Amino acid sequence: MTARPSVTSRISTSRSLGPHIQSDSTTLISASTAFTGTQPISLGPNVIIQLRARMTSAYGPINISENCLISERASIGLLSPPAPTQAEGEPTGVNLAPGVVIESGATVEATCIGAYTIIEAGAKVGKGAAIGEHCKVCAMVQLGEGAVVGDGMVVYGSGWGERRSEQGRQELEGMRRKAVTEQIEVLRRCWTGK
Amino acid sequence: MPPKPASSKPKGDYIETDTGNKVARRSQLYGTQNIILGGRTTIQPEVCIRGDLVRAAPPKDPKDPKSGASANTSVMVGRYTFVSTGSILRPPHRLHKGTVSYHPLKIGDHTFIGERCIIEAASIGDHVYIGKGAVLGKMVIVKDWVKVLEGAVVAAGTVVPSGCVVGGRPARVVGEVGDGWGMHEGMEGGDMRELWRSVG
Repeated sequence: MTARPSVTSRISTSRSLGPHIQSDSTTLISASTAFTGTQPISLGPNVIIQLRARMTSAYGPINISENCLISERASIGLLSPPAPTQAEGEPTGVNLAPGVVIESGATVEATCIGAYTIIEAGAKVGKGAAIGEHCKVCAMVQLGEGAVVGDGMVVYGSGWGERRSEQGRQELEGMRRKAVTEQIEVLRRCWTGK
Repeated sequence: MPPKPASSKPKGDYIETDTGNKVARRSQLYGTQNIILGGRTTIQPEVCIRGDLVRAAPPKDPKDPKSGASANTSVMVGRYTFVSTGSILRPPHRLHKGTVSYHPLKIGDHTFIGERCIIEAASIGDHVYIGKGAVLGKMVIVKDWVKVLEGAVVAAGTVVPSGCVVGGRPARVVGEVGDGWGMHEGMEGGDMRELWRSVG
């Protein structure tokens, strides 16, 4: 394998390589994460991006808030140009609210995903989709372009999926928050020993 | 004659260990010190095994006698088990007594895992056939002689009894495996020696 220039030496060169990444000192990014595209990517505090995740900002910026967890082989960002009908003031790119968990192999092109929502393994969320808070998109569900999912919904089953609302949402909110923060803590300890 | 390292390098895409495990060079194994392959196991290219997700604290559950021995093991794969290309093996985690803990992932003997599967199960038994694209959720327990159909999504925490065929999203029991399941060489769920021999 040929030696690649280290991150520090790449930053010092005048030519910009890849997207501009804005991150916090508490952000953990795996070395095998692939960042591509030209538009800015911002990563909040306590975000963990696991092995071989792909962040594509070629067609829109990526904005990930604090306490998000991106698992291995997940793909975040638009993979094709956005719909031309989009109005001016609307949010563009991919925006993840705090505490969103993206599990292994999921593909997320959604415009916004609400706080403490879980996108399970292998699920696909099409571009322009808006997903509410405390939702769960179960494994292998494919949500099409522009899909809208309300707060506290579970989408499961095959294809576009069946939906049901989460029972006893009040208690679950605290649980989700705890589960996500604990998971991030454990992973951080696993990786950094701190 | 070329020097030995040069001649051995283009030999094959697989590394064969002393115990006969065939591990693809292009597989993505993380935390290899926590992964135990039982011998004559095949790991195909692009397979991702997350051995780094190991339980940090010593086991708190005194009821499980095995947990002490496996405290530092995250993935255990049995003999003649075949993991097809693109699959992800990932130890499951759960929220237990207010903390998240990772549990070891155990896979039995003569088990076949199809292409692009995502396995987060707690244990998978012997002579299990998992069709391609299946997802086994967190803490799923699959007993012996089970067939998981293609594209099935086994929901988190499910226990699949032995001798069942499960399929669908979410996966339900759709039938039973026949009498000859696991008896015949080269059949689904059957003896996997021939498949192991044919690799690499």
